[in-house]
Amino acid sequence: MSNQLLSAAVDAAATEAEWDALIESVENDPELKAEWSRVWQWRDARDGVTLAAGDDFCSGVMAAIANEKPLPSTVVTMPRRAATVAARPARSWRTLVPLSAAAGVVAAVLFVGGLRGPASNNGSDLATSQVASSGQMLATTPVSFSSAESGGDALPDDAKAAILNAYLMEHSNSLAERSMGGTLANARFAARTADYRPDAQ
Amino acid sequence: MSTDPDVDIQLVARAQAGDQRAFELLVRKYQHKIIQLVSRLVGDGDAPDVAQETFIRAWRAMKGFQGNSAFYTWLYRIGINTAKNHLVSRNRRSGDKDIDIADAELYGHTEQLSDNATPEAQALTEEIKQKVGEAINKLPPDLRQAITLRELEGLSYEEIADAMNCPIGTVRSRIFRAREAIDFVLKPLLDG
Repeated sequence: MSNQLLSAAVDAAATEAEWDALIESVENDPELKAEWSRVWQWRDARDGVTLAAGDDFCSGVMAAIANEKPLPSTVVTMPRRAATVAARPARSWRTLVPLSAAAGVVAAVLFVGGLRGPASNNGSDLATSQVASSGQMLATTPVSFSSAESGGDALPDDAKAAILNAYLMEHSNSLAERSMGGTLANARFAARTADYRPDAQ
Repeated sequence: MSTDPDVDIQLVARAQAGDQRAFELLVRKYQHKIIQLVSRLVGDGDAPDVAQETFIRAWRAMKGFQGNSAFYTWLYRIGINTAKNHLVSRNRRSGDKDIDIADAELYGHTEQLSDNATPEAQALTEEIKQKVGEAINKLPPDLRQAITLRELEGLSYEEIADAMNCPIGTVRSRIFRAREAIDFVLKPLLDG
């Protein structure tokens, strides 16, 4: 009976139940297993494949597989980012101090710029903002502007750029400390603001 | 025909569920093809080890087989990659007649690669074809026609039933009896 199942199986004419029965039979019937091999050996020979496998080839493979650890049946999922963020320790004072300093500088520049706005300055007033926090220079860009050119704005574009520069530098450093790509952002910003354009001269 | 995907589908599904018995039937089905493939790349001496490694890797990756290609195509790729890794690890190439690995994938699974077979293996292959041919010729006409249509013409049972104007059950029975007669001459050749 099992030989009939095998004959139907190699022709893909067996049902699911017959396949199950055949596999059960093969497990306990070495002769049936050998017959399965012979069917495919003949077909290989007919198709021009040279029969080179030894008797112990398959047993070697199956012995190695039997010694394998069971394959994991579940997919390992990465922890949610929210959990990672929640587990992150709170910012220390070492981080908060330069952030506070940067915010103060921005506020001061805005304030000074407002005082030296169009009402109180004519010609070439110079406002220089040197920003330092925690002993580290965040921005040393001298900012000059002319109130005559500023029109109705409180600050000229260059001053705004300097303020933005200081903010982005600090923001970038903050991101870098948290390994969130701050270095790349800083490099991108530096490249963008580089004085490389001939028409800017 | 001999790599009938329907046969593979049944066995692969069971192997993916962890049934090593089904995977063993796949190994027995494809062992010669894989050995021949890798022997052309790494040489006869290392071919059995590389072929065994191919099947072990296939077992490990079995759950990842999506069925987007035929099982043998997937196994063939594993065999090529295993042979590549073997060559890299040994920092050498196989014999003078060796073909480039990339070229090997362009050749068929039989003709070009069979050049590397030993004379004994080639003689055995030829003897099998001759003995089976003789056995088929000795079969009663109805059995001979059924097995010829199935094995040499590649017809399905339904097509054979139409051609022979008989029920599918009869076709199935005739092919089984023909196969028994063929196995009778094969057994001393292959198991002896």
